[in-house]
Amino acid sequence: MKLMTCPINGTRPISEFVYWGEIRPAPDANTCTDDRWADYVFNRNGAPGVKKEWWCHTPSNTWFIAERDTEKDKVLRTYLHGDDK
Amino acid sequence: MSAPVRVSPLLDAQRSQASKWTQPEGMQSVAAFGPGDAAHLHQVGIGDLSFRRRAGVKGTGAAAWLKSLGIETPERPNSWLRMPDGTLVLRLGMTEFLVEDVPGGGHAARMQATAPSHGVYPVPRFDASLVIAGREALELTRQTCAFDFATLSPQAQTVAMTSMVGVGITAIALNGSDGLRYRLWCDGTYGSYLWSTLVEVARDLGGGEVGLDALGRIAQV
Repeated sequence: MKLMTCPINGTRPISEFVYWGEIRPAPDANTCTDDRWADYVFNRNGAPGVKKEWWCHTPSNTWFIAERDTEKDKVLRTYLHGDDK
Repeated sequence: MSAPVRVSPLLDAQRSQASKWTQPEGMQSVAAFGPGDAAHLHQVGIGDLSFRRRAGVKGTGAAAWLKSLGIETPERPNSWLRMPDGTLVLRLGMTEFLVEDVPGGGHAARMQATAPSHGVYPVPRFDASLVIAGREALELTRQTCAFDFATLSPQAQTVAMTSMVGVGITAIALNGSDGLRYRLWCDGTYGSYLWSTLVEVARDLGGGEVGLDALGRIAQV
């Protein structure tokens, strides 16, 4: 069974979570080029490596950040938004 | 019996099994399913406590707002307390609270009638609320949920939010004179499925559904 650790609710089966994609800061829509905006809207980074991702523990609706090595499929750490120390 | 003003979210799932009805807190609920209710409760019984009035609130100002209404709040996230009048107060995560009255209590009604202050957001609660009791209660949870209910300590007053047969639930453990029991809350729209599935598993364990008459004091506290 795959496990994920919610910063609030603890370690639970992965079936209690949903993945909401890599954290990607949005460019300023008022100043960026069309190409830059189109890249942000349509393209995703599929290269394996350590990524920061949004995850949600659905029974409690707790949103948090997981740092995950997508090459080794290992979760390195999880924390709430704003707790990145 | 006058027309009920509230209907249990489990009514459709219970209608064909019920043998006697009652209306606690104005909600149409099952008083008895049959002569086996008491035996079910001894082995593993599932009761419907949806009739108890409850209200929810969330936000950074929620704890202070509840305090202004005379409602105590747990200090730790994911914990619960019982007020001296029997009211259950659950802290769900960091800043969300579920308040459930004992029969005759007025905290939930007062919350719904009071305008929320800054940073306070009402959370409508139309939960299906269940109780699981009996000597095989833990075994029932083991067959239906990946979370280990043995870690839910009545003394530590821990709240677990997890998934049971695919339904998001909030769970606590309570001590009673008749042993440990578990209280569950879930979205009312999933209630019939959760109820039917748990009853099916409970029957395999020698138990089943239990009406409010056999639950007795368990339904009151």
